[in-house]
Amino acid sequence: MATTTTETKMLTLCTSDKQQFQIEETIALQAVTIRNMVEDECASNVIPLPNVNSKIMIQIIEYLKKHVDSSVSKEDMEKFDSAFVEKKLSEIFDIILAANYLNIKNLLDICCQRVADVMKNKSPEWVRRTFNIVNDFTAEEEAKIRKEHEWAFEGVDED
Amino acid sequence: MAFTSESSSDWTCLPDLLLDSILDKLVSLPDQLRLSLVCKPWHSVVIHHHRHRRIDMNRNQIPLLMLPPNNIPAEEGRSLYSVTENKSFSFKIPFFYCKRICGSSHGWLFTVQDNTDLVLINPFSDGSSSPIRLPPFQELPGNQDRIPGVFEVVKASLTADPLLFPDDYVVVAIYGASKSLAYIKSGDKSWTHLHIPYQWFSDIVSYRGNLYAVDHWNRVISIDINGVSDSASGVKVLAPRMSWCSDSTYIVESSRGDLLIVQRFLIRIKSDDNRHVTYRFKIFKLQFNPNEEAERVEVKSLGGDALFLGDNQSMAVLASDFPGCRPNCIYFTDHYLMVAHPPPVYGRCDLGIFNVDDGSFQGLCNLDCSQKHLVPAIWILPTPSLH
Repeated sequence: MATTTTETKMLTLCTSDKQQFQIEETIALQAVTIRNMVEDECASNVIPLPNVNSKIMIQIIEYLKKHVDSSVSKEDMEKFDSAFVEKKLSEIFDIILAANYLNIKNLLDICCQRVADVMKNKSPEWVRRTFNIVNDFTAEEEAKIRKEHEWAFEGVDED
Repeated sequence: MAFTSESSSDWTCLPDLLLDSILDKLVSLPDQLRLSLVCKPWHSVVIHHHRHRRIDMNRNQIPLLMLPPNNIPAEEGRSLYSVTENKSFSFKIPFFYCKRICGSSHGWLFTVQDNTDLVLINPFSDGSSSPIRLPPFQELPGNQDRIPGVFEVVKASLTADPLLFPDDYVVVAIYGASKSLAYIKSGDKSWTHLHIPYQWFSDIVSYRGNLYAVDHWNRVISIDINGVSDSASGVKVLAPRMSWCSDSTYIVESSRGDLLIVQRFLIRIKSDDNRHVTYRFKIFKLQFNPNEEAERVEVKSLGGDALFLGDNQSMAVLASDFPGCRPNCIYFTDHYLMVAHPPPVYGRCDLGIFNVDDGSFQGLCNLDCSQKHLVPAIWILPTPSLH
């Protein structure tokens, strides 16, 4: 018997911690990596995503669900994006890696922009502290680079 | 929002490609230079990123405005004004003081030293690249009407960065009272004069392997200097002179790869010591015909670009690539002027932002124009040597 409702095609994504997420195919296909897997028919019912954990997957699905909705105005989408990236830097770090692996260009863009915005007009010391990076330059090396580009180091924000 | 250091993620392990994407968003060069000092892995990514940016014209830098210094004598340095950050940096470059700079191209400045010699210096290279001293113009045929001294060269430009292409760059100069053209290839011992009727050129650009020059009447010529020994045979007139003359005409490649011609018109203000100020711009796009001629079509928009005009090599960037930079605007500074002979060097301040959309003018950074000892401001592409 014919049915009048079109069936929504679903995909199951399996994260590194073996959690399964059932989402609509149209949402998942925004990730180019998933689209390629589906198109190449390498994917069975369950798509394994060994590089993404469930905590990050939840956030990425939130992002993809919003972006598949064509009724959202450009302005509202920008508002959503800027609210979406208001996260801890460690989460942004994980999302950048996941967005790169899943090949979601706009998500990668807004996360990179967020990191760039954090770094704007900051001293190297501030960036090291904030991003928890160990200074591996010797004092001489550091002094040399600093002297070469002395002009670029003045007037940065207070640490 | 407060940031706390988070041990869970190791940012030094971020793949180079992704750090590169972050650098792409960080358009200000000072920001990038500071990041290069965070740690060694980042240092090498910044260097690589910057080299790539310099070679790939699609990922170009935005120029900085080199101004007289704020707190130190002009002999000891300059200020660098950043459009995107709307702030000035003080830049100490004691070695290159000179009265006149007649060009700025690929991060190099054409300085006139000891009143005659044209010397190319790269102020960002911290002495690691030696100045390039160019042969004198004296012997040049067709230079009977020489203007000796600092105004002999009206404008000079490079086809490539001598640091990146030491054996494959060309210097082109507009010189003399009749504003003739001459060029010299890297390694040449003397200049080659170009015999072109009427002369009176105003700007030059290297575009898709050829040179293009424009004169004050909007005439556009192309010059093929590759393998042409006879200096006249490579010259072709693409568009003839128009009926009106501008005070300055510029030729620039837009971010989309079109050639734009920009005419600049000045007016003399009698009440202000006869100072000349810009009151109008006219913009044309060059449309090439199949018969290798070109049509100048007047346009009322820059397609989102911002132009940087003056004594420098004319430059265009897509404004949206550089937050803080205004689209459809011409950022202009002082330039060589032939109204007085010799032209006034100091105390001129004709710089501002022209909005192409509504025809309005706005000031550009705070410069105290009352100081008569000012050296003219010039746009320069920051090309620090990173190693």
